[in-house]
Amino acid sequence: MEDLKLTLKFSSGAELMIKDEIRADAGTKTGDLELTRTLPATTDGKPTIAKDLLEFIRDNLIKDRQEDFYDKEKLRPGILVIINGSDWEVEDGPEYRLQNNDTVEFISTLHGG
Amino acid sequence: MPRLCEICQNSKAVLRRPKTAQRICKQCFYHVFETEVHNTIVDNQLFRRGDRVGIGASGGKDSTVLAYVMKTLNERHNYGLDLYLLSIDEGIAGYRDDSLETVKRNKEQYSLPLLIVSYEQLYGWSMDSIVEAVGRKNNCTFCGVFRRQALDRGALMLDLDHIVTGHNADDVAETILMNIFRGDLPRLGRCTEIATAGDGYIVRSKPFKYAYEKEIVMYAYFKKLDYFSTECTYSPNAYRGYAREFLKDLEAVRPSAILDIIYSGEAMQVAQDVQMPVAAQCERCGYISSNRVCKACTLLEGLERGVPKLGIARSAKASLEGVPDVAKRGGRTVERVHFDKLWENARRMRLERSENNTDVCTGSACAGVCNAQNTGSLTNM
Repeated sequence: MEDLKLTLKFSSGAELMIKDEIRADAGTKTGDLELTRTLPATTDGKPTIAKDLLEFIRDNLIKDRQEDFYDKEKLRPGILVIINGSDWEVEDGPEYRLQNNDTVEFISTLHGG
Repeated sequence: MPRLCEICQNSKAVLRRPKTAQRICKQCFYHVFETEVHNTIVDNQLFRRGDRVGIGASGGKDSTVLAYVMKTLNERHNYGLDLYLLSIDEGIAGYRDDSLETVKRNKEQYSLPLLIVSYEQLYGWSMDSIVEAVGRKNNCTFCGVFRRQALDRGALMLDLDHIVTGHNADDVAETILMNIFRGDLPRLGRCTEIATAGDGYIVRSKPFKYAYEKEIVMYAYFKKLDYFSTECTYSPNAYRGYAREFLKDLEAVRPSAILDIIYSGEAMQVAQDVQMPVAAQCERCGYISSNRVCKACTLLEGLERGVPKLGIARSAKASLEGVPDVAKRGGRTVERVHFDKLWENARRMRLERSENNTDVCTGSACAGVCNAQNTGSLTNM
């Protein structure tokens, strides 16, 4: 099966959770962050779902205190997830089966008002 | 096949409402969100036709959405309000200067007049210079106390009748929890009110009191509104941070928790025999205060005399004895304008406007200065 090429966006303060060197690589020290990452189409023999992406982000992109982002199968409350322009709660949330070329956005409601 | 909107049964659902768990489309979301804010405004009779209303604008998500929605509703429902953007520049490099750039863009985008008042201009001390003097530990106290008064000062400079702020349901619920945990009864009473007499001069209200933060953020996202988000450079408000996390955890289990807490806060009443502080005027600047000298004046005196702990120390009677009058300091002494003077200026502006303009009165703070007929509260629109 083909790998999944995903566009990941972090904004409204969520970008502040990403490692500085990754933000610097992306050319944005401040403001919205957009990354492209590739995930395998299957994880542990099953189709890759949003939950797997959260683990990937936690383990590879988040700076210190990774468990603050995603822990015990739970995304930190207050971070909104938008998949292809829709609130992920409209569909299956963490169980959503990722597709090639999906865009997944993380918007923080916890930062600055 | 995508899920359809539960309201119009027609378009693709893009949002699950935290309040109702309904899955709805973009257009229906705009409609219900705006209508709920409109209902909040009308049901609570927040404004009167002709009111001069300042939108407390930080450039952040809440106040940006508030400015957009206020402008939209004012036009759609013909409220007859004069809207202004009012921003406070605390003087925090790398934080507020960036967010004020956003407010300046909002001014153009929404064609609303903008007034920025700065701590430096009002008090002689920017937050950067205060932090230099007091360190990072207690600086939030200064910032909070100064902001409250700065908004009133700015509002009087514009002769406003009313200030609206972007506080949303999540903020109100958080504040209720914090005030309960601290046993702060006067604040508990005030924080649940949708409109308060402010600190004496200008009415303040929260049109987003019942709007969930998630919906405000999603509204800004779908409308692609231009807002700024970052953390304050100085120490975050740790106590509020815990209350916020706690509230978010509750919300995850039970989405109505936020409105439930607001309801609880509203339902709580202070027993008759509890002594509440009596409001009076600060003898130095005229600001409303339950003490002889208001908190802002006390803090400023501390800064100017080089004892920044003054007004912060736990013992109410932090002594000034033995403290040298001149100390190393980063701010400058400015002649603060007395509130009576600001009030007088505002009255004069109002009188001048009414003389030059016969057909419009009148705001709720007019108090009969201009002889025109008051057209009453905004109801039944």
